[in-house]
Amino acid sequence: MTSKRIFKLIFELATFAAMLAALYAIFLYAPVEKTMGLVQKIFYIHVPSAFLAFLGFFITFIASILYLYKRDHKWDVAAFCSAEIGVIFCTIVLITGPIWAKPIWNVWWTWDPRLTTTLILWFIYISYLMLRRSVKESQQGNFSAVFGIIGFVNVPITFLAIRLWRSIHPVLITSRGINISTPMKHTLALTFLAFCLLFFYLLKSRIKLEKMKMEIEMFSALIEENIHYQKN
Amino acid sequence: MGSSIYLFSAFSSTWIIIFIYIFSMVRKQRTLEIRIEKLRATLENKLAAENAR
Repeated sequence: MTSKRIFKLIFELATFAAMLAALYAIFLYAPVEKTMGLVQKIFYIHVPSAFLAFLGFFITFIASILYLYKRDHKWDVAAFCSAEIGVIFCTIVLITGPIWAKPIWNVWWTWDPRLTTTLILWFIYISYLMLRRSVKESQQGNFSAVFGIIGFVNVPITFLAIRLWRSIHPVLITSRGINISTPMKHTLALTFLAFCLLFFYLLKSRIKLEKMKMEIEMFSALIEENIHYQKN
Repeated sequence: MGSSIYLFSAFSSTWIIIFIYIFSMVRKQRTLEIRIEKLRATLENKLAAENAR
């Protein structure tokens, strides 16, 4: 076994163990909140998912800048894969949010600034992924990098929406710190760790797959070119 | 009971989304493996044809 494989195995086991520990903490360690009851536990997946969606789009932003600066294709691949995983976590946010909102606010959806900006963010990165598929391969990198940089503008707007405008969305981080009890903080920290490990595991696997696809396409083009050349 | 349904729905939908994504990656990998096999076969045929000449 090479050291790379051992590291991969350790990483996979750590992700799995962290996920199990997070589930244990959510259901057996964290106390049930007095006013919201069990529904409050949705918060433990909703908040880390939102953070990881932002992280995914931030990586896309940085990788897009690096691609335009260095013209290295690996940054374009990293930007694309990160945006894809960001969209996955943003989808989780947009699904778990309304599930929490229905028993608490009595509505599935309301056009609150945080909810609206998150939905816009999701549409922006869905457009990013669609744009990549619709343009020529030679233009793909440039177009997506520009889109990845401009699209990121909405991330701070989404984050600050509850502070900039009147919103009914709960505020977790205030000037006095995080407004939850200590066992809840521990559970949230553990869920953050587990979701972060999952995020990087997915990102690493997705980048590897995309690189493999590019290499196969390159070899297949070379072989076809060679066959065509020999026929002529 | 009422709030348990919401909790169950939120957790199950999260895991379903993650599993669908992982499954789509596994499918992409299988497709790529098939392409590798086809490329290998093309190369082997080409080498065999060159050797026969």
